[in-house]
Amino acid sequence: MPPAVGYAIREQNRPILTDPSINAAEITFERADDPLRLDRYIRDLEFDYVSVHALKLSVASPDPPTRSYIDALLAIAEENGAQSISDHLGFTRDANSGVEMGHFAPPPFNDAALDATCRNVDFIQRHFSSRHFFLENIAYLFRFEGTMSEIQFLKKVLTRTGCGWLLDVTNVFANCRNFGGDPYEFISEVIPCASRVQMHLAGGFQDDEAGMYIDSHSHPVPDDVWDLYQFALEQGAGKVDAVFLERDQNFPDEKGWRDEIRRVRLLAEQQELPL
Amino acid sequence: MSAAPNINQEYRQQLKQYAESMAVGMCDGTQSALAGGFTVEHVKLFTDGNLDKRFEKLNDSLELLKDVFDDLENTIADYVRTVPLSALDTGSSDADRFLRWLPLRMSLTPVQDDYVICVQQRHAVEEMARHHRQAHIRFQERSSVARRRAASILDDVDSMFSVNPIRSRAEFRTLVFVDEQVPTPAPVVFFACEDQIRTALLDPSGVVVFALLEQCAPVTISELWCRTAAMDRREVSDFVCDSAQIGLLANC
Repeated sequence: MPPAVGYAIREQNRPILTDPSINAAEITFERADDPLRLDRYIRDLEFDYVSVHALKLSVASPDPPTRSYIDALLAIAEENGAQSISDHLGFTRDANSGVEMGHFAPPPFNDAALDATCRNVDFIQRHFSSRHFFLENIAYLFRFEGTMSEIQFLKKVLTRTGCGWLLDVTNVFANCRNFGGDPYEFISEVIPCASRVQMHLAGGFQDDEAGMYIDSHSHPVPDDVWDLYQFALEQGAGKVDAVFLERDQNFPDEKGWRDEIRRVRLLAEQQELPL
Repeated sequence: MSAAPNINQEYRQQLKQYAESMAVGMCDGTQSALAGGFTVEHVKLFTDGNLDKRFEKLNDSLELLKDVFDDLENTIADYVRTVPLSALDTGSSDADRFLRWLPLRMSLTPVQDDYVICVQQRHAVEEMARHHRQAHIRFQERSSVARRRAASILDDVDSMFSVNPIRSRAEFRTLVFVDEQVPTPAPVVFFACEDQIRTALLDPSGVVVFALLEQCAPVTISELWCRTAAMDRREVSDFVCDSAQIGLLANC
């Protein structure tokens, strides 16, 4: 079975969510968390696979996420029939009584961060029970000094907790391009440690002033990322549950929305064809 | 193998130091902790982006205040660089903190006060709906029927009414939001109607009836008439019909 394929839902892509190539949807929790909304976030649409994508579990913080946030995620998952919940491998706050930075930063890749992350992922998985939890590798602009590489850290988290890997292909590409490293090696090293896999694809731009590729979800998926995606499909064959395309700025026209998701589907199906 | 307790404590301190400085865009403290090849400028890219997003979110949710606060954008910009976002911030909690911080920075006119009350009450209603989502949905289902049949809502005197559970009471100090000439402070109730927030001004008899409804609903109209025996029965009935029509009351 090829992975389920779909968009991270935005108001701008709702009109094409019935495209035949789409059978999955990702709900960004913070967008769905509109307290006055009366209907389901996915409305009357039905998908084979739905995932809720969170931003504030802050898995690398020393404190576990609060029950109220976990319950709110579960409520949205329940309401929309989601099979899985995901968040990022990073920290957005220091502690539950502390401050929030507004976005996730990578933890220092060391034993203490590994311990805190695994403890929190275990805690999260206990509360999500039947729903799979996936952890996403993030694109970062800086990194703290650590005692191991990101690959080693991620492999240990996946192995110790058994959680799934939300492989953001563009994030792997961006980090390797910006700071060195082989994106193919990153994927082939980590993917065997993941029990299940989801994928994110997006397009960013080269910021010449900063000298970095910025994962802004503002452009079509670049060719290098398509190639990497194909490679990731091969490496993860048999355990990729879903692939989600993300777009948050410079929205395409209807054809653009449809063409890009059809390419995601086509490549996933080609991977499934017998040699 | 798990990290030793003192290592965990060090990690907690480490993250506290990073997060507190990055939350308000003070990146210098991170220099010594960065991996080789990274500089404070890299961290600044991260924090500037975060502060910009926080500013935009506040600016959007405080849009209403722009009518009565000069230079609101600069005030918000000062706030985000001075007061860090609280951990576990959700919904409009940062905007509410800003509204509590604002009077510490400047004295507000009565009109400005009413604008602040208006935004705070709207947030209070949203927060209530967030925590009582099923009650909100159930009431809106009943209310959609009650709104259509408001004129005949009293035909069955044994029918029970309940009050919209997603509501918040306040008083305006001025008449800036009120069309009619009424004494101030003017009692108002903010409440959810479908996916919107509405406001109703309560006249003196409305205050009495509404307080009773809040106290004893679900209640029938006949019971309400008994409890308001000193009042004109038609006045009580009209209040109930009007409240049903705007989504403040509904049959159970």
